[in-house]
Amino acid sequence: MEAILNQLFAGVSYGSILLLIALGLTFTFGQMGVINMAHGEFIMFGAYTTYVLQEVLGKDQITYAFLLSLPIALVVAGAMGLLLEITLIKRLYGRPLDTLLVTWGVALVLQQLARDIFGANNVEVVSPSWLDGGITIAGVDMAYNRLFIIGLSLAITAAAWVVVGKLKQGRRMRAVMQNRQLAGASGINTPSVDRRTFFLGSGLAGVAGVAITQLGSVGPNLGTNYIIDAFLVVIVGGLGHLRGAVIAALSLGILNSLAEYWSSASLGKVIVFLAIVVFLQFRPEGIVASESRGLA
Amino acid sequence: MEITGEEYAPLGSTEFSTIVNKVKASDSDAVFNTLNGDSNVAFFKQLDGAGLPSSKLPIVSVSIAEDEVRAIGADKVKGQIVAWNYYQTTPGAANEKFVKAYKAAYGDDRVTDDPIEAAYVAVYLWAAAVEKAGTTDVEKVKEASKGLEFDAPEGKVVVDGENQHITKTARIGVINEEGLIDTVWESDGPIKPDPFLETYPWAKGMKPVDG
Amino acid sequence: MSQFAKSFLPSTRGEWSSRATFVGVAILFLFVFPAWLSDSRLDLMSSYVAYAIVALGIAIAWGNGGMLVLGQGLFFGLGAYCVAMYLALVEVGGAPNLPQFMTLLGSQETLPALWKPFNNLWFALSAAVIVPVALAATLGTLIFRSRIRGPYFAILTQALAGAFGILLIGNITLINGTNGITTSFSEIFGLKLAEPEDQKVLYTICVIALGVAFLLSRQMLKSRYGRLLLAVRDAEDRVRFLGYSATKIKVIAFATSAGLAGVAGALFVLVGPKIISPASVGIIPSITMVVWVAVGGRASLAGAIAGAILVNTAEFEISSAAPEYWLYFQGALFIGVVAFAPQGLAGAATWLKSKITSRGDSGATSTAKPVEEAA
Repeated sequence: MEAILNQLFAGVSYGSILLLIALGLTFTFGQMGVINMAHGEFIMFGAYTTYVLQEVLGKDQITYAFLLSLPIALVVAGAMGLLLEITLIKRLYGRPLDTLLVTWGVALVLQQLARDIFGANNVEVVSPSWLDGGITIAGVDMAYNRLFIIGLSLAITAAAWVVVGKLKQGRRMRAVMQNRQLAGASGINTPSVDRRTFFLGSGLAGVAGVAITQLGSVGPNLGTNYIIDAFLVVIVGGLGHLRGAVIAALSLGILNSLAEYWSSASLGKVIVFLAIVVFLQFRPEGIVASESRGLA
Repeated sequence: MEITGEEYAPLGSTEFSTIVNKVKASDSDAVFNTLNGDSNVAFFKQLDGAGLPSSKLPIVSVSIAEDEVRAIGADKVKGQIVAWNYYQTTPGAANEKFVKAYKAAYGDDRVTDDPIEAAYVAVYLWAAAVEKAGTTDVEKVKEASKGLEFDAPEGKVVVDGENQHITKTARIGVINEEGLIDTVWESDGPIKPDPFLETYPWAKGMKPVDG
Repeated sequence: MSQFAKSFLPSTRGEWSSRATFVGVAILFLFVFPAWLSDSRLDLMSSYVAYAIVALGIAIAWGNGGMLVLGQGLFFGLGAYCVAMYLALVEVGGAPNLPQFMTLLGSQETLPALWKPFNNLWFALSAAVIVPVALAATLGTLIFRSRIRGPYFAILTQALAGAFGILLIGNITLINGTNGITTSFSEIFGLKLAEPEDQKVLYTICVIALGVAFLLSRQMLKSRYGRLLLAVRDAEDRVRFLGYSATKIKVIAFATSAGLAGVAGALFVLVGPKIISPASVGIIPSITMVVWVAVGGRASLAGAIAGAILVNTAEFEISSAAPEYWLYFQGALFIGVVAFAPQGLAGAATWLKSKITSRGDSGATSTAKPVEEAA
């Protein structure tokens, strides 16, 4: 029983990482129909931002560097996303499959760039001392770093909720998401909304990267380990819906953990995949339905 | 000895919570860890987060050297066991010179380790073989390399005439607080290489390769 | 008659010139390369020829069917593992002997049930095609029936390839996990895989298989079915409204591409590096396969073959001369071709031809402009 509770905790923890990554994807994918394969590399550069800050500020300012890297990574990754949108993605609207392939090419270049700048070996980000260790409640070991990631992901989701649901910018985003032409006709500057959405979505990837530094080391392939699962979250969750993304991320995280526990780490992924295919038989449009994918 | 479980992860994995949980639930006395390179960092960080330091769960790793310890953080792996042929602390004049030269070239905070030493030795052995052969022709260098000796940082190594591997001393070490590794056991001198498993009884039935 | 359909009925002159090209390329591959290339280069070329067969399948499913298949490594791997298991058993004198790696690991007492049928050559060879086709047909039916398409389909195939790679890695006792299965010291049809002379025969077999696959694929695309497939690519809903089963049309193309990948995998373990491991089947190799086709020209079969061979040759040359630049080059190639020259080499060839003959529409086989369906 304890083992299962532990595994549930691991699932929630993995799910919250997926959520952090998938939030950004939900924006870009949901609004623009853009599959950005370089999203994983924005995560990676977010993680390297933490490393660079730590090196610059010195080993006695670990906490400061870590907290500071959250907003800075948002800006770094956001700026990279913005650059990508302006230079390439803008030209490819209406060609979603080509966008997917082009951004994968960008991902390759970014990985090699990271290798050239930071070296092929992984680098270590020192955890702030208050994130070392953990507490045990009812037999469940909760590592502080995992608790922190869960909290961060909750906070960011809440913030995203406010932005999308309450603010003017969010209303525009939803309008463009639901009907681009009508939104444009109503006086919304859709290209500008696209750029902001892309900045925000990519920036969130950077924040996810900062969080991931607490779990392992930072290397050029950091993003690729998470990105496919995050895309599956978006597919299962439904296009551009925060609620769908939250439910899907946690369900997939927990399903993944339990499947891995009861079978093996390798069979677990296959079980999760089959579960998704079966799920899509019943709800092809995802947990939260928007429009039919058949007649877009 | 009973094996309580066996788990595999893809190269470069960073999510080990399930494996850590399984280790914990199995109540094993020790773990034999064959993870490679950077995955070790995530594995040990997550073990530490689950409250399993070396005093509670000894882990024998075959791919953690001084450089990986530097990346994981010595405090998370001190007391853990590793197996190599060379450590930065290996005694001898050749090693003292090597470590000194290495630090002078790459910085005082850097460490030497077995793969670094092996690469260093390989270049010198090749150079010696080329000098002996008087040419860089592959076949002639191979011939000349037979029986070559070199006073390596790990001790004297000899190229085996039959298979071109080198004799090496096996050393088991324990990671200390400074992130260096102290030898706790070593073989009686260098071991003759046996890449074709001729001296292992369990490999008796295997068909020799004819190619 | 639609513009697309017209392009599949080339003028007589075009027909002749494409036949002459086919014969010329066949002579190049069958006689010039074996005489001109060194043993090791020819060995590499054999694996590129096998890759070209995967590329044909991608050109059918993606270029002509609009289904971006990002998981071909899975089907390639299934074909490869089926034959590799046979070869691993031959190497040790056949069942019930255990393959080398099992003896080394000491993990199995007797040959596992999964392995037993692979002691038979014909079983292994047919499984290498049937297993990928059956899997693709089943998955395709499930996915297309729910009208999942575009990027969603692409991501699902990619996730599947990823899961398959991890599944292989985890099963070290059954299939040697991350190490894969080496086949260098085995033999098939009495041909020794390590023998350079026998390698030449295996190379010829690969080339003939590619030629046959090319002609069959061409016939398939020229047929009524091929036109329906194009129609599905460009306006799936209209095809459905006309009373066709778009699901069936798409499943056939997807299963064909899987079958071709299976054949390629089966050939791959006989030549080249003679090893199949999870490193050749996962997400990265799968997307790399799409790069070849994108470079060659996604809708063109000849382009796909040219793309597979040229990109792999370039990879070998560039990554041996300057390994750190290969990823930059590959990334830039991909961005440049997909974003700015979606017709790839085939488009360039058509353009050149039209410049030279300066007659608008003489015998181009792939003037069909790929139109992306809206998500």
